[in-house]
Amino acid sequence: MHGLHLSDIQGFVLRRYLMPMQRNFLLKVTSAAAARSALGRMVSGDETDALQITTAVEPLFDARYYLQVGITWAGLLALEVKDRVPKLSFESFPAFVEGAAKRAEMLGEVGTNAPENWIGGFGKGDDHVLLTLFARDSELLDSCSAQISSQCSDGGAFQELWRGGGAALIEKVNGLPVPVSRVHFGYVDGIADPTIKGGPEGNMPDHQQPCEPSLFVLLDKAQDYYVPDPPELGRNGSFGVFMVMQQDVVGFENFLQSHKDKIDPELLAAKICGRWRNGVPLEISPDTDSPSGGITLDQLNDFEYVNSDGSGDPDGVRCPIGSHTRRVNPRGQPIKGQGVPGGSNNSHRLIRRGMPYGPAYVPGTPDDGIERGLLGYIINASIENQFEFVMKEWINGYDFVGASRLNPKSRDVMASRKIDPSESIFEIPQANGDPPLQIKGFSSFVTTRASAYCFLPSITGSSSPS
Amino acid sequence: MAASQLITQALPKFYAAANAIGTVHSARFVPMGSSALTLIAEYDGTLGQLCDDVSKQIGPLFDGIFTNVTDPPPTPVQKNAGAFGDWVARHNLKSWVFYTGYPTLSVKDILAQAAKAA
Repeated sequence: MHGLHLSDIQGFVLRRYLMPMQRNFLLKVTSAAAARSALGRMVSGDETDALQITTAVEPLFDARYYLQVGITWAGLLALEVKDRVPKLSFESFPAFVEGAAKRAEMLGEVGTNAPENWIGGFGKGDDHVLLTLFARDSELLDSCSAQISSQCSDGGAFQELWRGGGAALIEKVNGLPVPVSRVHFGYVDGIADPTIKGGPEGNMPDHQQPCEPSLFVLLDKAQDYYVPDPPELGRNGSFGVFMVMQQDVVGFENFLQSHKDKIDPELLAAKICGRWRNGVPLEISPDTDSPSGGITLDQLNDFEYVNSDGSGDPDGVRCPIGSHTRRVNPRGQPIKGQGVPGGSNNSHRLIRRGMPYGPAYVPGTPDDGIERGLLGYIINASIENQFEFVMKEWINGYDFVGASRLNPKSRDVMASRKIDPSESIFEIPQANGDPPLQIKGFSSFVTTRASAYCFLPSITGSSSPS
Repeated sequence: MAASQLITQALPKFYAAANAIGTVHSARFVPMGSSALTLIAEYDGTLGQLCDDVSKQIGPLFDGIFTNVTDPPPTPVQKNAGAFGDWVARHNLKSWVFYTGYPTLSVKDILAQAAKAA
């Protein structure tokens, strides 16, 4: 049977939730036995006893909350799992074992992004367990949070080190406040999400090749890793990179305006991202965010950069090769690790489960000094070959495209941490062989405030050490 | 299957893999009599990174070759990438003298400049 064991896999690995609010709890294990028992209660199935970890079975329309759990390697050791199983081994996952703090420098997380500056105890060794709660409104969020606090302090199981929440930005539609899918730099986000063979259908149509499930769910049949030992713990699990990423929203808007003598600010915003701020892809509509005849939901994600016959947009004249969405999801463009035009970059795809934090900023208004950003998980089976590969090769790199390589000083304006205003550059290719438009003088607009490499155990895995 | 047959059958995949890896200047399999096979390659970056890329792109070819090899690393290579890299490092014959006509150019530099000149 090809299907996935939906009732054993954590829900958010396979489903994008439509809940508008999220809160994350970073916990330190203070009593291994009590902590194991607390986790066991969360997968017992008894809703009257404890909030339950959500599975990937079809979610209830009127669910009050969803709850997910992540455990770092330090957390697995603190839970004393090693002492309770014949063999604990994550041999195919050295990045997870090392942890986010040790891997940070290699990914360019230096200076203000470095682990010594991370908030809330992340990266200091006591970041053991991360609980992520989704809820429909702030009352439910608060009442469920109170239950979580109570469950987690039972028997001295956990100490809460930090909590941080996100909420969908609110816009007025017909006078009513409505959560929208725009994020803090003003773009509609969350359009592309991998389709998984045998998995539930996504919220948005996806025209890219469906992904092997072993790219996102730890399965024995995977060709490039061994499921962690013991298999009751490892199977049907996944890995997630949790990040809190501060965004300099005011700086970004000012930057867009500061080049308006050379390029319309909304066009610059589109070229940087690869989509207009309303989500319309540059590849489909390079000149306007409102193409005549309109654009269907389906078309938002139905396009290719380079077709199998080499035609399309190989030089990035419609959508720059260095734009953020083209860097992180190059589709059929030949790049490092995938050499065939029209081929698939599936082996490096990522599932994103993030949300904004901080209230919306209205461009043009004074800087209110409120911290804003994005927080959440990037989910994948192999942190090395998916998240870290994309960061190192495609976000931080410039020569991943072979013959159409970028200027060595090129940076991903939306995502790079290592930007030098005196030399970093964003090039916008022009038609007719004209030289590219060069945008310079920008600093990094994002700062990593926290990160953790988490194992996302299955329901079986969460109950197995107890 | 004999190593020579395996390699011959896998040639298109081998070339495609080398292209996809993007750091290989040249590579050749050279039999030494009938009892040894060498792989000689010039590449950019580290041996460790190359082995990692090889295990991802063309691991199965080496699984076949290793059935003909004494004391091979654990297979499948794609699932045991770390052990494969360690094995290659141990069996690597260090160059005594190495000359290159273009010490500062990587494969990607050369391809990019060639594309511009075309």
